[in-house]
Amino acid sequence: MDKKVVVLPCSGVGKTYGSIAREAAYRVIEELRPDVTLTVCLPKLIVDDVGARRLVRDNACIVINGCPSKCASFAVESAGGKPAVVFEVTKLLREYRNLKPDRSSVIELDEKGRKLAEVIAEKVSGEVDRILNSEGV
Amino acid sequence: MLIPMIGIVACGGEEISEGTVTRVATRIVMEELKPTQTMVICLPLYISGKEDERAFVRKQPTIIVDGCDKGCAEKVIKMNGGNVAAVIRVSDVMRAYGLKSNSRRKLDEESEKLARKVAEKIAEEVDRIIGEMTKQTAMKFNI
Repeated sequence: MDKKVVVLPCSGVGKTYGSIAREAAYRVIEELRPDVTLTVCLPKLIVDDVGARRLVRDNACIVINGCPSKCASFAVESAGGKPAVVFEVTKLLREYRNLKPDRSSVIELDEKGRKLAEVIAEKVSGEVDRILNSEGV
Repeated sequence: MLIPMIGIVACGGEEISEGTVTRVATRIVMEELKPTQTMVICLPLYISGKEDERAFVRKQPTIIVDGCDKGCAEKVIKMNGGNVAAVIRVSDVMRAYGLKSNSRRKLDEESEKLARKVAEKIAEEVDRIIGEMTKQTAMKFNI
């Protein structure tokens, strides 16, 4: 298999930040860079799924954490991977204060949440290009 | 004495559409069907060792909602000594009702129906578990 970039968002269900991370990841994987990116289930990295672990060990990973707990980073590291780039939705929110989403929009993001996801997806796509253009990948 | 509060853990796997169904079903239970009797446990937080999540799942009965037959959420919770009271798999509900899950990003009409069926199954288990807890408490205090 050609080298791909694994985009791993937070899979949390408690807060809207995880939903923003996922929407950003899906936007990259399904629309912006569909041929060179993919994702993997976060819990699979913990339960000794050989294929999932190999995927994050053998490919560059971009992690999109929802909150400062950085659980998605933890999952990649637990599986023996090393995130090449780490984003954090709550940190980016400080930069884009005008895109603060309604906290209750967990399942269906509101307009601000969707916009923030778009911004993050663009940043992630930029990092995907940088990684693939750099030597050694 | 156990508090009548049930934990719900969704696998939330982002690779497959069934993972999205687990998240939506869990939110339906928490927001609409059983808001005062359930608490959603964030699986990534649990995995990364957050003590609040770990302590809750050790003490309180927990319903696992897994997307596929791999059963990752169940495995993770059992690995860490969680109190698993019921396991619901989206793949089983799909087979039982002939429903499909079609998109991981945003659920379509059929997938939403599936999420609601899964939510109803969770709510049934919540009633069953709380019924058992009430019975045990009544026996203990000879009520």
